[in-house]
Amino acid sequence: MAQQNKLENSSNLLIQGYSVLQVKASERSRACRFLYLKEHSSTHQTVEWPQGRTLEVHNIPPYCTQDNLRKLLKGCGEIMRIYLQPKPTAMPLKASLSVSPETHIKNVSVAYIVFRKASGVKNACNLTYDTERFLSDKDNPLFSGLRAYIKEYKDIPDVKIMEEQAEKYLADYYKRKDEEAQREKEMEGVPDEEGFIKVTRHGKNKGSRRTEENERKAKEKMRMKKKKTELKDFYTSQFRETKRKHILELQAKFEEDKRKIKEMKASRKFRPY
Amino acid sequence: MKRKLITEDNVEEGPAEKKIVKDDTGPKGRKKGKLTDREFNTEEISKLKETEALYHSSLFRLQVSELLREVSVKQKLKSRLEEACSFITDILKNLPSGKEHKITDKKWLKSKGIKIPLLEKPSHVKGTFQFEPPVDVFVSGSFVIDTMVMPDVEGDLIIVVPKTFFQPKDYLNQRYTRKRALYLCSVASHLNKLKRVQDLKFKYFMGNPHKPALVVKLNNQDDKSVTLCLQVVPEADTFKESRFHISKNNIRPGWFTERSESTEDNERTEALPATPYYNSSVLHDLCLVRNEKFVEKLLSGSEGVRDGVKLLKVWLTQRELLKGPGAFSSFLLSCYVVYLIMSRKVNKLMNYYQVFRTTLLFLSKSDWILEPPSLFEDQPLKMQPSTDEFRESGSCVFVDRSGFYNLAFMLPVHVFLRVKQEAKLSLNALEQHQQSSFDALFMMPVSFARKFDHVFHISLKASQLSQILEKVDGLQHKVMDFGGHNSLPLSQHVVTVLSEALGKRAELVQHKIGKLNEWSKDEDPHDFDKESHLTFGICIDTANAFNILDKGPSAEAVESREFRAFWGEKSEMRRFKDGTIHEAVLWTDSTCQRDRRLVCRSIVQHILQRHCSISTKSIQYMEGKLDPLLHVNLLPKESCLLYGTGEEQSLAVHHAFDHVARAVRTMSTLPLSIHSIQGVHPVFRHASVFPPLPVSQTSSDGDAVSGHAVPREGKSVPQYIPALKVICMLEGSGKWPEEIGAIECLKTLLHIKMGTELKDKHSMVSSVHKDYVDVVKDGFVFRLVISNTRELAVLRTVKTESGMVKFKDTEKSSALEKEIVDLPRLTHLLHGIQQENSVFSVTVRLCKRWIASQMVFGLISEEAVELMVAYIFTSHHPYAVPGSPNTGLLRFLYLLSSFNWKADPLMVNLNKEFTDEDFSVIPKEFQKNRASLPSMCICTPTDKQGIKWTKPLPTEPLLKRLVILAHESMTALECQLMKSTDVTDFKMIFRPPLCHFDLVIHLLKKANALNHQGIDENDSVYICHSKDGGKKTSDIFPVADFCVAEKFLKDLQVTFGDLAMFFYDPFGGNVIGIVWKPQAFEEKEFKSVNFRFRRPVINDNERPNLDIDKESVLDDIRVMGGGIVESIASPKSLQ
Repeated sequence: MAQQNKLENSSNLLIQGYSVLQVKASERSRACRFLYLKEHSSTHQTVEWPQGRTLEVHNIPPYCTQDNLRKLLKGCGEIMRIYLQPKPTAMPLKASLSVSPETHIKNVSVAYIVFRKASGVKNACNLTYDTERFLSDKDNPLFSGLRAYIKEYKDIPDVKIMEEQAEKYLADYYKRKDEEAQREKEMEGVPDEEGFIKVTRHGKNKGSRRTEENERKAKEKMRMKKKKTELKDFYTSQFRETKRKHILELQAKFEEDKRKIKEMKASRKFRPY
Repeated sequence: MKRKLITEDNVEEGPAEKKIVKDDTGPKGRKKGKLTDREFNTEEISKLKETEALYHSSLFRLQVSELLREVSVKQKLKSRLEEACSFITDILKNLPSGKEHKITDKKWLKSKGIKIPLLEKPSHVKGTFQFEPPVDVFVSGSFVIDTMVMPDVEGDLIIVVPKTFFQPKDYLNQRYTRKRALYLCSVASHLNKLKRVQDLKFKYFMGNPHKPALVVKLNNQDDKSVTLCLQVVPEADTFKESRFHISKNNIRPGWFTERSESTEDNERTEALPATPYYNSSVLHDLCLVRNEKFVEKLLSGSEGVRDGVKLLKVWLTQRELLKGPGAFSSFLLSCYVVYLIMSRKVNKLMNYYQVFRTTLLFLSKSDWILEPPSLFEDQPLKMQPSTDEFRESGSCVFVDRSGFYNLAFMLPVHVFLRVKQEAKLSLNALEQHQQSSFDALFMMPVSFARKFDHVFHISLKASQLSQILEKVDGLQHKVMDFGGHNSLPLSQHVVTVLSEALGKRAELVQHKIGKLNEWSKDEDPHDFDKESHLTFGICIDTANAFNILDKGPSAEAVESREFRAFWGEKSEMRRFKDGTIHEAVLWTDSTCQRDRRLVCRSIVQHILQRHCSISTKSIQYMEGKLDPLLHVNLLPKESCLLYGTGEEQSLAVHHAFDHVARAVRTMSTLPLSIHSIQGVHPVFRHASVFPPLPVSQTSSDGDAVSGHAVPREGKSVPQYIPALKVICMLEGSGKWPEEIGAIECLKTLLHIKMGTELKDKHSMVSSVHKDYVDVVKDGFVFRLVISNTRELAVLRTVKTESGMVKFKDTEKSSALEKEIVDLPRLTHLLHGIQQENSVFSVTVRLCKRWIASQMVFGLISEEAVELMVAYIFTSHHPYAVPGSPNTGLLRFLYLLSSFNWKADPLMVNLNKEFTDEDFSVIPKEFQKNRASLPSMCICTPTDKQGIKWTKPLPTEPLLKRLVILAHESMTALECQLMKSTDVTDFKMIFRPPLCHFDLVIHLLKKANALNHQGIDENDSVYICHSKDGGKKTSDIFPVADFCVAEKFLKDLQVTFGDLAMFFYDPFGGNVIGIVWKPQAFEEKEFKSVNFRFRRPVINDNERPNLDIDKESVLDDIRVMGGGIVESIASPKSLQ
């Protein structure tokens, strides 16, 4: 099939619906990589990635930035948004929303590009296979390596913004909590439709929390109570029983040890030198 | 007698239990017994009972019986030996008499192609020699009492020479030994004619240079050979025993120094120096038959005793103590067991475990110098030497049956002390009811380099040797006594002097027992002086060995002169704090731990120079040779900091941390108080290979952004300052939110508050982040993290459908638990080990460095390595606690390579918190769940499954590779330590071979901030001048935690983890090794999930497939490493 495609259109390589491009990172690169382009289609319709206007680009290099892609697809049409992701998904990942366009995202492999017009996608898919393309030039340099690490370090967080954000979140949280408590208080002692009253952890008669630990403790308590009532080694038969158990234990241990020895023997553990 | 060994309550139970056995065998017992798979009969049950009461444990009993089966001599070999013995006996008994020769006449020997197996110093001696057929030939030794142990089985044949062979004056001046040697030569010449004889060799009998023995290798019908050892003894009444009284002289100095032989007849023998060694060597022959028969009589007929002796032999062999000159020979061992039987400590009804344990017990308590054991029972004879006289001879004392002969005359005191110490250690190992005690006693070879903390060699030429001996008082007589072998008395003298000099510092000083050399009949006899070097070992006592001062007697005291004479010019008068003036020796004025570890070296060098005239040049001292691996050069040179092996730097960090901790505790703005503050960085447990240095960063190093220095592009990267993580646990409170997001926000606010207060009140420069706050103190950066157990609980909580609250570990919660619970605990416990033993730090860091230098540091967790080293310190059997980094590293490598990681969990008994129950339950659980557990399990009292630090890494293939590497490195290092050349390259095992990698990435030097730590780097690192200098630049926060190489490696692993593995040495490594994963080369279907790093290809079915695009991967690596990577190359092209 691939061969057929090649014959039909020498300038455009199409494999199973993906058009393939040869791209180099920069002019100094020694090898081409292959990008796989396709119009995005999914059963899930999303607002962010409108049908017909979104292009999927696979196998972009891990250090790829939005600027690099804009440079690559210059001339295909106006680009509205670019989503860079580590793996293909049906919907945009939440993290990529909050990322500002300048931030360098490491370890990406798929880009979703939204064009203003549907023609942009078509133009991109019709790019010729034979020409070598470049992700970077002088205006859009590659952003990676030592330079990226230094930039990352320079991005020192602003304490004030941090404080404000945290305080806002906490305020929201306590508000929510208060409302919940209020609701619970109102519901206290009020039977539901079937007539049951929920035991809450507030008020006079609060029950203990239902945790695994508490339940285990309760069971243990019961068992201990039972045990206390028993007499140990009182009857001769009981006495004999304990002794028999001791011997059985010894036997079991002996068998176990024998098995172990067999294993050790197999691995020649008894040759001292 | 049996019950002596049983603990008291066991004794009481003993008879009662037997009754029960009987009860149980009744019909009722049978019925109930059906619960098990098969029924045990009475015999088996009683055996089980017996095991419980009389043996260590049933597993131990089974293990030992397997071992005995393995080492005992098979019946086939026995009968072959028997046949060979009777064959030789027949021939020897029918030999004809020979012609008469002078002793000095060697022509007849030459014609037969045999050289006399004796060093003839001086060569001329009176007397004649004429061969006479033996009166008797018989088999003796361990073959008769059936205590032989594989391998190297020899049958001992004793040839009894008729009385007439000797003349009355033959006892004098080695005439006896020469004639005996010549007799052996004649025997050899006769045997040489036989077809069945494969090989004839000589050896010194038990390393005694006076007494050669003939080793005959004999062919058997079935083409398998057996070895016999022939020795010659005279008839019992040839000489009077009293003539060889221990304090008599039988070698005249006049004759020995070749002045004249005429003084020989002078009767003034009392004035002459005694020759105890020569005398005893003759007495050995005279009393041999009597002693052998006695031992045979007492040891025969008891299987338990016999097997016990076998076990003891295996035990000694593993410690390299059974064979060789001056060893604790197997005959001596048998005699000691006989002595214990005589004194009713051992009886014939005991089983092998009891015999073994009792013998060790009495060995560990005995003193063969002050209270020597004796086989002599009758009334004391008139001429018999007293104990004091025996003691004067300088060796250990063990009087024989006759009362004249010292069985232990060849056993130097230091070897006996070694045996005693080993016995003590082994008893300790037995008491620690662990599965490993069997291995520690019988299976682990205790090599010299692993046993002794300090090893040193003295290499001397023969000419130097004799010069030295002339200078040292009293050694000349000894040389005469030893038949002209110089090195034997010298080594004993060295040990004696050193033991005195080292005193409390050393637990043990020992000269290494050499191998027993055999030489062919036509070769020159072995000369001890020609051995290349003498090897000594010192087991140090870490409590005292590192003292830099030896305090002597008060200056006015009489002993002060003695002290001065001993230490020479090193001794000085010193005034001490309490005002007294004492003689004292100060070894170093450095406070550096490294120099303190080398105090013993200085002492050895000084004392050997002073008392043995051995120059420092001829001593190769092995301790400290590995120290350069932990050393970095500091600049500027005039700074007050010393960097030995980095212990002081760890302490400096601790010191700075104390200040920070105090400041944090007294903080007033926090709503809750801090209930614990603990560092979790390895440096807080003294385990950071290169502890952080107080680095000064001036603003010129980089630009400043909002009070922070930042690295600048185009310049080389700034010095690396690690951020030392510190966990601050806040006290619990009901007010903590119950949602993880809210907790995080609250923590952020607390961090901000903390940063501000530390800055304002304590003027510490700080840098606040969301998850932590960094502060600078004394040039170190501490990363404070606030935490609370509530966070852990919230992360774990899961609500089930029925509304029950369940706790379940998630990935996040276990990571947090590790950080805030386990790491602080581990840090605390390892810190404790360091407090107990100051060698821990240097050892653990050396081991980590080794792991790192194999480029696998990231593939096995640091904590796992630390725990393994902790194991060496807590469960040190069969050795004592390590006292030097060399032994520590060797034992670590041995542990790593020999431990059966698949079958056993490594149980590190931190703080001794394991219970007896744990020791049985944990292995059982391990066996049950083996399949689901990681490749290596390291259990601690708080982590009984043992997976905390070893999951998911190391992987099985990596562990296998590590085991191989460890084994190779250990043998190489041991070899290097036991050799005595000064050009040995001790860094060899720290250089990894690169040829295993598919590709190697070379890093740019300027991007690697840790370049100075490299194995072969000599770069220096700048530190801040003094503490004031650090404070001046204190308003800008330095570049912290910025290691480009590490970041790059991490990115590579994240990005290309599915395709390849990356190996790197974080301590100054400048290469990253790449190994492709095999699955990377599989062709994949043409699908969107497989597009990454692949290119389209057409497969055989003409369908498009995806194949790895290597070139573009390499291109990506180059781009990602822009400014970091120098080149990528195949390692093969490098060579």
